[in-house]
Amino acid sequence: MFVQLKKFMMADGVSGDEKNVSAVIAAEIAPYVDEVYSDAMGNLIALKKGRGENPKKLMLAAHMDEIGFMVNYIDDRGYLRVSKMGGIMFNAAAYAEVVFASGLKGVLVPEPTVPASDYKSANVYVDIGAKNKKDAERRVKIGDTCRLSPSLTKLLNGRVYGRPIDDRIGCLMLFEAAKSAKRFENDTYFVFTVQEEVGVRGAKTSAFAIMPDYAVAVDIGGSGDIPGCKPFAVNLGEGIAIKLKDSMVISHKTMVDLMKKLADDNKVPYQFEILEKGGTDTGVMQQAGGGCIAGALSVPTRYGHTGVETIDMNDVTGGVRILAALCETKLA
Amino acid sequence: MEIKSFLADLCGLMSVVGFEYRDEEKLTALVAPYFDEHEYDRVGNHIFVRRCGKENAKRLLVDVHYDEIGLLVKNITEDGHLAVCELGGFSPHVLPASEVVVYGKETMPGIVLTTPCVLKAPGAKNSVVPVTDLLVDVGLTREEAMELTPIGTPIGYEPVYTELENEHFCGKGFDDKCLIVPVVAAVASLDMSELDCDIYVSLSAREEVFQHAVSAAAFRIRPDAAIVFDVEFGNLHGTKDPSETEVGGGTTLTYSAILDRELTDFVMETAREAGLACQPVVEATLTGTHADELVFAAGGIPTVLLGVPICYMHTANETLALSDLKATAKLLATVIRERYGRKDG
Amino acid sequence: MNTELLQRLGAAVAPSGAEHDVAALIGEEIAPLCDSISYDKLGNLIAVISPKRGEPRSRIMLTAHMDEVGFLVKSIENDGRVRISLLGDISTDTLTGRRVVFDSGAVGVVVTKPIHLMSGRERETTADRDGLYIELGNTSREETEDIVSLGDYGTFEPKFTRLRGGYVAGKALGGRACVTLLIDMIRTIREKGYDETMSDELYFVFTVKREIARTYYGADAAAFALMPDRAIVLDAAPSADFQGVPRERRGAHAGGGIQIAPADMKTIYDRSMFADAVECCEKYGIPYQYPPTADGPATEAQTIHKIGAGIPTLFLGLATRNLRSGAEIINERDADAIGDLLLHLVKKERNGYQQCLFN
Repeated sequence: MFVQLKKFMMADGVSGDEKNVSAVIAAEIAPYVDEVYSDAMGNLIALKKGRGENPKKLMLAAHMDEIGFMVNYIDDRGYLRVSKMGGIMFNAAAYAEVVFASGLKGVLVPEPTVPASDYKSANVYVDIGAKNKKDAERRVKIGDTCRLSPSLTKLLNGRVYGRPIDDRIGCLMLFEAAKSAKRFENDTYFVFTVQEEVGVRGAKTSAFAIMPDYAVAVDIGGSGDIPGCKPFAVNLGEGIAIKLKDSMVISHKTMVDLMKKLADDNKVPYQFEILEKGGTDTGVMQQAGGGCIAGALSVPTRYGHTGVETIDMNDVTGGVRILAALCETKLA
Repeated sequence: MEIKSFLADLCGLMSVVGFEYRDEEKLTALVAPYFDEHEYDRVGNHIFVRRCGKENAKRLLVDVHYDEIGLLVKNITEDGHLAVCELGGFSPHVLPASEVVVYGKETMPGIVLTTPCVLKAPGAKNSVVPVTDLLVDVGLTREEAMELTPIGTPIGYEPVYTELENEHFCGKGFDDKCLIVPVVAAVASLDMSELDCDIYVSLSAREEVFQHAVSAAAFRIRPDAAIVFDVEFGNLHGTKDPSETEVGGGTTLTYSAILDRELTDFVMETAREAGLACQPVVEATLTGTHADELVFAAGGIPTVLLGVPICYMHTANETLALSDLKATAKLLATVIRERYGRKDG
Repeated sequence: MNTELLQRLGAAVAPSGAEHDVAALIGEEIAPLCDSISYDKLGNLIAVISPKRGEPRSRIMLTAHMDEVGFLVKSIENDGRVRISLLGDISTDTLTGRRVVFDSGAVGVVVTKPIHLMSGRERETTADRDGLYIELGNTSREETEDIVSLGDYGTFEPKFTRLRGGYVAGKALGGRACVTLLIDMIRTIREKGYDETMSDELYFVFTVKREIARTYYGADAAAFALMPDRAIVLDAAPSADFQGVPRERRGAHAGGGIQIAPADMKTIYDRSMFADAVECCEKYGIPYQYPPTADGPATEAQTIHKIGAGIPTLFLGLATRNLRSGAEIINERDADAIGDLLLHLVKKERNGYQQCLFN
């Protein structure tokens, strides 16, 4: 799974510009499903039809977009000014390497007199080494996106760090579930959504088109096991987290109970997550059209939205099992 | 005299302080027909005279300042926008997105620029931009502006006059030109042969920047008494602040230690006897008007201060009651007749 | 752009929730020119022109909002003054001391305290949004109730001023110019017979309730009903392009051409529509500009693009100084540029082969 995860992470897909990662995921998942297509916004949908009578619709969603930057200005000397796409923390991005879809590299740096607490779009810039504006314009244009350079590295105890774990780990888990589920009792839509990081936009339209009966989002969560953090009841290595609530959703009890049962049946360790700050695709799917039974699985994560997002792969394998078990369960 | 159009014509003149000469001929054309003599002196005062025909007649000075506030182009930006400074006191609360008139080599409309709410910096949503940071957009490039509206060009409010309910009027320049209307109406209505004083109506300049040109006029005229007319802060709706008077409540009369108390009392008595509305206002020491200058000029001049209340002073929509102007015209004529009526029958 | 029509549209008193006067003016202009014209349940005006030959390739929705900022009468005071509630994001220093009009025809002045009576804090901050009064010249409630009622609406006084350099100023001009441009487009399509050769069905939607939007816009209802294949939103792009404003907060540059944005704070515009529009402008020498940042102020596109299964959307901005005041300033050249670009939706290219926009 490490290799597969890395493959998904290496493909670029800043919010609004997901076509490259979409192509990679589409190619990987195609052998395991009946249909693969993209919608008007760019959401990637892989449908595996269910067997038997009147299958219900199950939507599994993970967002394939990542936080990054959009070029909005090129100055006379060839420095680039950028806007945030998603919840970038400039302290985490300052003095780091960024990379464009074309492979062009640059460095994102703050202006020299700005104190670290004041970094924002207006006082940082990207240096691609251009001689002047014309030189820069040969390689980039307004509207182009770039991201902090991707990476994935092993730590001890099955932990890994890198970026963008948010939310390629979710995409990986969907893929692995499609691959490992023994059967598909329901019409299962593996949806790789777009523009989650800028306001959960792709999930809204893809859910409207599908009108699922059940929906599960898979995304990174938080963790409460690092020095100086706020008390939070989720820790790395203690299992996948079943989301009870985030800022946009209260998970449906039916889904929570189902996930608990599947976890217990499959001897998968789990924890419960309540996120006070931060929303995911879940809430938006729950409200689509006439509404549906929605819940989510969260991968406990340290240092989210930085260059060193850290997770425990054991939590991930447990989560994959629950997703696969969900696919194998005939939903009522 | 049709009072509404006379008011709009007078107040609509361009008389930005320091540039009062621009509409000098128009002002003369409007006022001179009611008088025997007219002089336009070296510092910008207009002196209009009606004589009674007597030898060694007393001299009464009636003063209204005809200058108005305005802006001055102090710089031209790269974009051709005009950076301005105040001539007289503006409230920065009323200027953003206002229509103004730029009196350059050509006269042209301009708009004061403001930042739309949605582009304001988060901490600055409710802050007021000081006048000194405001810019006026006329649509010219920098080169064109340097030619047509160079540094030193005056700018005034757009002259638009609107009638509100109950004969209330709003528009620019009521401070202080609106008082020319009752003064001219009153003085024109007098039969000078029944009086023993010559009346010098001074429409004086530079009041708004406290460079009182009127003292020069007083020096030449040597009046025996002076009646100064200036607008007061008014409120249409009953006022809680003692410095405000009631719009529609009649002529204002100021009680102050520097003014002539006997003359002030005379005016109030006259008003009472004639059944004319006259509201007292107290300014203990200085009044902030030309009265402060005239009292001490030319060997000392007994002076009173009258006026009308206006709301929204120094905005493009100063508001007054026509009834106050009419009452003031009547009161002035009556006071002059009572004070300076010929005693020899 | 038809500035005579713009002036008439700008003069209509039509804040959010009371767009009917503008709708009526639009209807008069375009009813004889469209294939159909109708209102939806919210008051959005929808005009359709279909291609006259063959099946339409796709359905394109073009929008411009009819409403402007303004106010509602909240209460009539015993002293004859009127208290108002604002409609839209108006900075109160563009209201205080200014003349306003009510739909009943009454005229008033927005009350402002003399500066010498203001406390130190009052001098430094703009008037409180909820504390605005209008002076009509009455001193009693009864007199005012004769000419104004609770719930009456009003706006800045209509005005139209020609500055130099092709700039015009007046209330509501940014939004009404976009309305004018769509009407111009309809007229040109008919006059030049472009509907004989164009490929797409065009839905011109004149929307309501834009200025008061928080979560939803009036446009959403129209988009939901029409479910177009693409949408183009026209609106004013705010400008603060003058000395002293840092680059990233200057907004659009008046006179700098059509503002075409890759994204703003609430919408990432369809990347291929964005690229096509830029390419078309480059090809035909139509002046255009990018916004200074990709997280600028939001537009009606923010909800339109997420309607249903998603609608690829583009925003074309008309640079407007003093947005949402009584003297918005636009440049006729910018408006003309938008008009030129829009025609490339229906005009074939010089070689007669295909349209420049959105292949």
